[in-house]
Amino acid sequence: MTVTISGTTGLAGVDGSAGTPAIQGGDTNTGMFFPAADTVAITTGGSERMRVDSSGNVFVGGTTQNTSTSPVYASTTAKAWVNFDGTGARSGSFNVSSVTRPSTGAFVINFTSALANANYVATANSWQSTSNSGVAYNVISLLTTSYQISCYENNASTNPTRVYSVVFGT
Amino acid sequence: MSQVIIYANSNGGVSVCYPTGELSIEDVKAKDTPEHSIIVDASTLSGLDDVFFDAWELNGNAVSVNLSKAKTIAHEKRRQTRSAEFAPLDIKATIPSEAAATEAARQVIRDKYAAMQTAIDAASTVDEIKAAMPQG
Repeated sequence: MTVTISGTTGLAGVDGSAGTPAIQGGDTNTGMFFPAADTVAITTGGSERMRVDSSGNVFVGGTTQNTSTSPVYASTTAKAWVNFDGTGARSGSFNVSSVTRPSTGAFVINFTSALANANYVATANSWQSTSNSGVAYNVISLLTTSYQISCYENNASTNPTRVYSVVFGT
Repeated sequence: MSQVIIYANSNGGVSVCYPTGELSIEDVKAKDTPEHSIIVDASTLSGLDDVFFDAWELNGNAVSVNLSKAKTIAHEKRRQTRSAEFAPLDIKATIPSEAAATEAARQVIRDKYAAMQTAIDAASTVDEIKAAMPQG
């Protein structure tokens, strides 16, 4: 392999790897490398930490975007959110594959990518078009793959006009 | 045309799963619903009254309303509405000067809901049950 140092193109000719990056300082397993065509990555301690691919996508913590364990989805960002109507039909979502309604006022929110653990916080609120009275929510059955929202009005199960829910966790 | 996934659940009712579009409906079916679930057009459910969702039951690939369960739902709604109408009279009934008038008002409520109970029990279709039960 030939390393070329040019006044026009700079340093060129070595792609490197996560363990031995092409551009490094005194630490031989920390630096920058080129894992694929039109792609650049940063490695520390021999492990890839960040990548920008040929489409401009930024991958933090690995080579897969939008995974629940990626550091970019840290405790300060939502793990999932969803906006759906009283039947379960959704208007918008992130990391939610489906909403299942097993009974009146009950909605099971299924994650697209499972969360790292079940110690998360899921909140819910709603818009109720037919009544001014408050709807109470129970957020129950927290699993890494899903959780359930149960909605009540005047101690009776009810389907709100619209439900909004968001999940935070580590 | 939008599609949903339906299946008979452990309560004897029907669960309806709405995919969000983040995954294909086939992937959602495999990941989020039991093996016996089926994919149907959402329009096949549009003719079913959501008031009686807990009375839905799956017969083959078709969803229908169980009349007995629908009547149970209607009676529960009747009891809730009757209680709400009785509540304001409970205090008035303890005031001697208003007791007689209050009792008359309570009897009107009793009669109204007794007739409603009879109508619900006599209903032979979902539409008749819905017409007989409290509205709103």
